[in-house]
Amino acid sequence: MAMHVLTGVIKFIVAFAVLGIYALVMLWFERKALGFFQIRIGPKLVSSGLEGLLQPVADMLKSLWKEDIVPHRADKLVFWVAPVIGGMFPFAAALAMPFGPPIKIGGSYFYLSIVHVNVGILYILAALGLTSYSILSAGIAAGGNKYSLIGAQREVAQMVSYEVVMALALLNPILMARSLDLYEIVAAQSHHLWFVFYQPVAFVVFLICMFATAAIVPFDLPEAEQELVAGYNTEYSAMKMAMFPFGQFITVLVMSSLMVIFFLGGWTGPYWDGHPWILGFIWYWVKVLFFVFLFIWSWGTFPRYRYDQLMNMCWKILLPISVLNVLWTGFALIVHLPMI
Amino acid sequence: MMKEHILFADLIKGLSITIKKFFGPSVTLHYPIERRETPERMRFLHKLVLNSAGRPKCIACGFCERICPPKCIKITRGKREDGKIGLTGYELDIGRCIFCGLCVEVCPEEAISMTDIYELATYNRAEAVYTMDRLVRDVPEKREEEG
Repeated sequence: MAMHVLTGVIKFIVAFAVLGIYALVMLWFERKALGFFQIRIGPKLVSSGLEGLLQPVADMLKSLWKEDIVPHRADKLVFWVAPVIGGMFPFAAALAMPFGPPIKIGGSYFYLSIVHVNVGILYILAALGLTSYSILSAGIAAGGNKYSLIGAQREVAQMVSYEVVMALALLNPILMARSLDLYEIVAAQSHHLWFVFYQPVAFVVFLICMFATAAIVPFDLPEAEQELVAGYNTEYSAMKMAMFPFGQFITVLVMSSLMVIFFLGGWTGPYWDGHPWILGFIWYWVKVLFFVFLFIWSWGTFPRYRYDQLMNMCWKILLPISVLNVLWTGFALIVHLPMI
Repeated sequence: MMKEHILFADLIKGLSITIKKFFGPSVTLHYPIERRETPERMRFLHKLVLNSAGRPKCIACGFCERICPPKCIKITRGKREDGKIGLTGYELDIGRCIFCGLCVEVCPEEAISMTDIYELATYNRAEAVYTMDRLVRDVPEKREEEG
């Protein structure tokens, strides 16, 4: 029992450190990569030998020293709680995210996620869904700022719409793997082709939902700089404002890992059949980081969808397609079509 | 039209353009570290040209003072150290100068010319006034040599 508590605490600390470093590196990489996409060079002068790698550290120190402005009319408590939730719930979602293939020690497995539950995906979706509460409360607490309120309203509408479609898209791999356990879903793909080859439609739908849920360009309507200044975080300053991108980067990571686990076979890959553990680890992170890069890639490429286009696409195109796809998957499983 | 939408051809086209730019060269000029090459006839800070005797070629005729549209040149005439009557002071207020270059064009002796020094911001207005000494001494020719 004490052993379990100890490993849990150690896992937690390690994961916290890894995610914190990841968020800082992402802050740098995002700016650097966007610079490259726009034929610029990005941050360079802070630690010029490391191509500006220490820029986020400087940014963070600056955030710590800046004045923390709370609007006079703001709801003080909610205004405080919003960024805390915004940083906390994506992190909570990351608790169930596998950080690599399980290590086989003796007869049992050591799982590289802080909590290994057999309904991992439900937990992750719930935690990610709760993240929109942070933005909702940030918008409402901002003391009547219309930009914040519209940004929050958009975020909530977007989340509500796309969570439905995302859950439907994820339902196909779940049905095929007959499990809600992330490790089981990867194991189901290790015997045959990845689910992306059986479920290309669900894959594309989930890819779109991934961007919408993380509120990244082309679906960054909640913060739409050009229309809403910065949407829900207009009234925030200093460290509170830094919590939102922190949460967003963790969301990006969790979504990428879900994508890889559900459709791209997780840590399975060519030349990996379970024993060189490190190869599986590399496969997993190569795939996850590719999708993290894809987020920034699309950030540097696409213009933003209009609000009605976003809603039309979700309810009129993606939702019917996903429902039909789920029905088809269920039918194929019942009649034992040679798809699994 | 429909095919483009379904196969995401337009999106993929955009992505392929940006990824090419991602691995391509950047157009950024690392400004304080490296500078853009200044055009040969660009009009920047003035310089008083010296003659072979090492004193300004200026004969204090006052043409530049008179032609200067914002009236930023002030010439004082008087007895020089060598006893002759001539130029004793030349003040140029760079804060008022519009860099039209008329002073250079009008000068009969080609005693005033323009350099390629363009970083002329100062902390106060007094520093922006270039006296004769500064126009002779402060304007180094090394930037020109570099160019």
